[in-house]
Formats: sequence, C-alpha cells, structure tokens
Amino acid sequence: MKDSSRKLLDKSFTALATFTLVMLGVCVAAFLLPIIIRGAGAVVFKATVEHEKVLCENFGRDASEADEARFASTNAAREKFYALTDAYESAAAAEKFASDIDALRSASTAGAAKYKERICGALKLKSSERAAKIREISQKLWSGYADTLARCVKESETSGGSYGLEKFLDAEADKLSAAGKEISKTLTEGSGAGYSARSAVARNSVHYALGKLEEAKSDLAETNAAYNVFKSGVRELLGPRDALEKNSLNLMRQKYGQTRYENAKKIFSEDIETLTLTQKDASGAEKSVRVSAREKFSGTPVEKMLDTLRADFDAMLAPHTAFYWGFFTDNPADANIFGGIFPMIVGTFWLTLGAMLVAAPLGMASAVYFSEYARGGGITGFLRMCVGTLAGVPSVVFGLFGLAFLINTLKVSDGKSVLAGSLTLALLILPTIIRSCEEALKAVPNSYREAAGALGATKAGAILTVVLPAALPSMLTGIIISMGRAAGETAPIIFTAATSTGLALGLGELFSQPTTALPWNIYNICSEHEMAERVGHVQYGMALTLTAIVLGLNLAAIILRMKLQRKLKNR
Amino acid sequence: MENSKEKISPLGRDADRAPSVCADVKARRTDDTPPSEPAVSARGFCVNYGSFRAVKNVDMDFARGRVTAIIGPSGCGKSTFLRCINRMNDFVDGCTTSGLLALDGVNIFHKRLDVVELRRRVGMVFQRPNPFPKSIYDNIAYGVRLRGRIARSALDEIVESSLRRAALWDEVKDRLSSSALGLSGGQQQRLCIARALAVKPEVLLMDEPCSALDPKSTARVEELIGALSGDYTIAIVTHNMQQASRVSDFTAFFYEGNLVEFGRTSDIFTNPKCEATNDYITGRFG
Repeated sequence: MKDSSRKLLDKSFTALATFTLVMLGVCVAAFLLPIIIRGAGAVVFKATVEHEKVLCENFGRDASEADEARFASTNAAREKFYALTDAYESAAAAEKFASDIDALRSASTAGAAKYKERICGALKLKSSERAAKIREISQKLWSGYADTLARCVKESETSGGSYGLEKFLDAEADKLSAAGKEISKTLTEGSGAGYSARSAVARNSVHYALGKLEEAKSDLAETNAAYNVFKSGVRELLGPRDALEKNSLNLMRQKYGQTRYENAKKIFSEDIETLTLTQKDASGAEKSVRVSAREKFSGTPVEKMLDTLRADFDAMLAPHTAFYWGFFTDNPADANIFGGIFPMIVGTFWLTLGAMLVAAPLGMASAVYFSEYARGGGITGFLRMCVGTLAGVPSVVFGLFGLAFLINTLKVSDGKSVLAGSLTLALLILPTIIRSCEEALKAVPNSYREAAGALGATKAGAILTVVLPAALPSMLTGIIISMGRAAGETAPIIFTAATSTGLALGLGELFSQPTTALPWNIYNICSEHEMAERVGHVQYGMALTLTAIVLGLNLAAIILRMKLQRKLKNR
Repeated sequence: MENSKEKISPLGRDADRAPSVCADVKARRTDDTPPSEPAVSARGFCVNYGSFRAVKNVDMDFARGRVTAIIGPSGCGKSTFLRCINRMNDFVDGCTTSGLLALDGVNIFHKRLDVVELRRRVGMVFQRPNPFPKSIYDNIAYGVRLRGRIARSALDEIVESSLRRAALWDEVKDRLSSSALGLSGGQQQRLCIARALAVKPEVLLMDEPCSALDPKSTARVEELIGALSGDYTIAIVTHNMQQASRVSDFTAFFYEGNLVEFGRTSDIFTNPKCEATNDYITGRFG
C-alpha cells in the first residue's frame, strides 16, 4: 500500500472513531439530560400552598411558621374571590327579578277579565279551533309577562342573580298552572261550561307564558351550566372551599387544589379561562365545545371573578420553591398524584437483592465448574450451549416461564410474589453472571494455579485461596452489572411480582405478596394512568431514580474493580 | 514425612525393580560423587503426551545437596522431566509416565502417594515469577498455612527466615503487607524462591528461573542458588550454558527426549564425550 493511501486510511479511521464518539455523547446527553432535568422536578419544584396542605394533613408533617403564614395569606386572598361568587350565587340577587315576575303574573291573571267575552265565544267553537283561539288570546294576555321574564333573564345574566332566578323559575310552572285555573274559574263561572271546556281554558290560557318560561329556563340553565364548569375549574385549582365540602368528596385529588405551580397555571388557562361546554347541535347530538370564558361571560360579574383570579393568582396559591425529599421516602397517595415513590424503590430493592442472592452463588459455582473442572466433553459443550441460548432468550419469555413454572406448577406462592419475581430475575441474569465469571476465571493466569499446586494446594484449595480471590474484582464487576439489569427489567416482573399500587413490603411479606417496582410502575404511570399528564413529574422522577440506581450500580462496579485491582497490584 | 514413608510401601508396584536400581546407582558411582544416597533417581523413566513420547527412557540421579543443571534445546523434554519430579504433570491432560522416578527411594508416581506431601518436599520455582496477588507475607505463608493452623509468631519466624534465605528480607521487611505484585521482577522471583523454601522442602526444582530476569537480577538469583546448595538438592533447567556452568555441580544434556550425556559440570563443559553435546555447548545448534 502506498504511504499516502495508508495515511488517508489512518485519518479516516480516526475521523470515524471521533464521529462515533461524538454521536454517542450526543445520544447520551439527549437521553439523560431530559430525564435528569425533568426528574429533578419531582424533588425540587415551584410548589403552591396546597403542597404543604397535603403534606401536613396526609403525610404527618408539622406546619412550619412559613406554612402557617402561607395558609393565612392565601385563605384571606381566597375569601376575596369567594365573596364574589357568593354574591353572584346568592338568592338576594334574584329577589328583585322574582318580585317583578310575581307582580306581572298577578297583573296578567287579573287582566284576563278583559277577554271574557272572546273566550266564552271561543268555547262555542269546535274543540280543535277552540284551543288555537284561546292560545291566540293567551299570547296577548301574557306578552307583558313574557317580556318581563326575558328582561329578567337577561339582566340576571349580566348583573348576577341567574342562580337564584333559576331556582325561582323552577316553581313558576306550577304557579302559572294555578293562574290558568284561576282564570278559567273567573271566566267560566256561571256560564255552564263543562269540565273539558273549563280545563281547556285553564290549559290554553297560560300556554304562551309556559312556552316563554321554558325558553327562559333553558337560557338560564345554559348560562348556569357554563358557570358551574367555571366553578369546578376553580375548585380544581384551589381545592374545595371548606371542610364541609371537602368531606363530601371521595377522591383525594378532589380534596386539594394544584400542588404544583406549573399545573396550576395549566389548569387556569385550560379549565378556567377556556371552558369545555356540552352543546346540542341541530340534530340533537351532544358534543363538547371549547369556548373562551372571557367571551362567554363578557360584561357579567363572572368576568370580574376572572380578573380577580388572574390578579390574585399568586396570592391565592403562594408559589414558592419546595424541596420535596419525601419523594423518595413517602408512600404515594391517590394513584401517585400525591406523595412519593418509596414502595417502588423498596420493591425494586427486594427484587434485585433476592435475584442476586440466588443468582450470584449459583452463577459463580457454575462458572467455577465450567472454567476449572469441565473437560470440554459432549455434556459440557451442551451445557455451555444451553447457557449461551438462555442469555439470548427474550426477557418476556422468562416472565412467562416464571408464571407458568414457578407460580402455577411449583406454586412457590399463591400468586405473584417478590419471591417468584426474584427467582425469575435470577434465572434471567444467571447466564450473564456465569459468562462474566467464567471470563474472569479464565483471565487468571495459569501460573497461579501451578504455583499453588506446587506448594501442595489441592485443586479446590487452589481455587478457593488463589484463583477466586484473583478473579474476584472482575467477577464482582459482572455480577454488579447484572444486578443493574435485574433492577431495570420489566417484562419478567409483570408476570411474577409487579402490582401497580401497594405499600412497601416487610421481610415477612416477600414470600407471598406482590410488590410495586420502579420499572413496571414507570410503564403503568405513563400509559395506564387516568391523569397521566398531571403526574409527568412522577414519571420522570421514577425514570431518574431507576436510571440513577442502574448507573450507580455500574459506577460502583467500576470503582470496586479499580479499588480491588489497586489493592492487588500495589498497596 | 516419616509418617508418609510408613504409610506407603517404599517401592510400590516397582518393588521388584527398585533394589537393582539402587545397586545400579551405587555401581555407577565414582570417587567424585557425594557419598550419600541420591535424593532423586530416575530409571527407565518415560513421559508421554498422548502418543507422543516426550522423555525417553531416562536414567539419572540427582545428588543430595548438589545443584544439577539440565540443558538442551527447546522441546527436548527437559522441563517435562523436571516437572514430573513434583508431579506437576498431573495438571496436563493426557500426560502419562512409565518407568521409575523415586524420591528417597519412594516411587513418586505411586497411586497411594500423598501428592500434597510430595510437593511439600519438592518445591518448585517457575520460569516467570508468579507471586500470588496477595501481600508479600501471605505469599510466603501460603504453603505453610495449607498444612494447618499455625501460631502467628511461628509463622512470622518462618516468613522472616525464608525471606532471609532468599536474600530478600532487607528489601521487603518494611512492607510485608503490601502486594507482592508491586515488587520488581528479580525480587518477585526471589520471593517465589522464598515461598518455596518456607515449607522446608528437600528438593528445589527450578524451571529456567532467570529467563525472564535482567542480568543483575539473574546474578542475584545465581548467587542465591549457590548459597542454597548444600542444604537443598537443586535441579535447574536452563537455556543459558554459562549459567549452567556457573551454578551447577552436575549437568545433564537432553536432546529429543533422550538423556544424551550426564556428568560433572566441569567434565561436560570441558570434555564432552558426545558429539551432540559438544555441538550444543559450543553453540553449533540449539
């Protein structure tokens, strides 16, 4: 090869290697950085006052002075807001409209006398024409009432009182019927009209008013429904207003407002400033539409509430930076929406420890057999092939095996249990441990065995006193790296050990109880959680914890190896 | 040692041959040979690797308390022969022996012989220094501890005396607990010798002990061999003819598995009887 081309080849190899290295670095950074940054958000974040409320009321923390001050200041700020809602919802606001409507109804009822002749004339018509005629008259009779009704609805919607008005109107239909009966009584008294004629008058004389009432009611109902959506958005943001309301709610997530400032802002813009309303379209099918609350309530007291919310947002929630170390030591509450991931960490620890206790001695013993005793015959070759094949079996198959063999056939436990999971994980990592230990043993120079033998050590003695100690650093490295793999495996424990909720297990429960564990719960909380977008911090927090455990184990392996090797080499 | 002699019938299945061997040895003795019985003697000794015969029909004696060098070109079977003396060939698959190889008249290959005891009596130093990855102290103590519990003070004494015998004590006495792998090559090799001496062997086998060492370390090891002869029967395999002539009392020349010539070192190097020996020591081949 020519010198120039050799140099070119050298350079291109160097360039390729550098490029690969850079790509690797970029990939690691792109993978790890979001996990680290967003995972850290589970521990260090901008919290609202609700966070401290949850901690004090559910996780046995004592409120600090700062907490108490926050509770007081936010409650005061909230009272200002609640005063607005109270005013909007109070019956007093509707009184004026109610009395107006009452007056008009009485006036209209009394005014029916004017139409006495026309109605009596109508009674002589055929029954089909009779109703139409009376309804025509009722329109004239009740038009003033209808106008007032419409005016009251409109006014209540803009100036408040629609809540009380709706309640008042609920009873209005009955009052109208009574008015119809009264009209019928005054008009037909002594005319000798039959029962059917009398009831026809009673029914049809208020027909127009009833129709208008329905319109008014549905108008009000629509407005009030939108207000209720707004109110439930506020409750999601701030939590229930008082203990009475709180105790009437079942789920913990309903009992508290947003604990994280970012979520609070999201709720404000998505569930309060924008409302999701159910509307009926022309064909009568229901569909949900998103409308701007500001437009919907423009010019009404609700707009003022929105302004107050926006202006006093921080005062009501008291955002502050919180360090929630309890994320690692608290039990989760209400499907991980509150609390930490302690049981998952403990579960992962038990599973990994159990797997190691089984796999490490077995793997080391097998490796010693393969490396020191096996003579490369047919059976050994077959066994070796089996180990190699096992190493390549997908982990989900190990999970199925654990379920079918360990649980269903051997019945190591009644159902899923940490024991079954540990055994399955042990089987999974056994081939890797055997291989790494075998490599470690093969790397021990033969001269050590010879030297030990020449000093009179038996084969087993030489293995125990010289070969194993010399191979230990590499063996431990392999074992610890396998441990990292066991900690992170998901598929095997789905079948044998994992459950989505539960508390941390004690030693005595390991043989019969399933456990939560980080790998499975990460999947669970990301894909099966009903409010997955609200627990993003927990997802990333779990991912970071698991990554930290695995990386930490690998780092420990490296440090341990370096230390042991230094000890063997020099001091 | 006494115990094992009683336990095993001294001559085993070769009992019928043994007396004649001894007689033969006596018959061959010249005025120069030391007066006592040979420490190790081989009669018609053969080693096979499968079907390949590596050592063919060797008859030779290792004089007690003397240094015997074995020389010969690579692959001539000298190392194989040496390793049989403490049965290191047991570690080699497919290695079989025939004929007689005896230590103090006891057949080394007797099936009821205690190999561990044999290896205590026959120590070995290898081509490359191979200290264990343990502390200097533990290296020396290893062989002693294999023989059962021993008081710390007694062990300390053995370690010190072994290191003194190997002329290493002054260099390492301050760092007995540090790793043996931190020593230089020459120190490591002397440590290996001290390790072999710690179990108080009678015979010391050295398989090219200086081939991995620099000249200065080689000189120190050779000095040490000189100092040890008299107390130990030493068999040394070497490629270095000068070394053989410097350190040994007797020299055996192996060629293609045969013992070609065996005699006093001075005779072999000044007046070889065989043409092949002459060619080899004058550097014409090998």
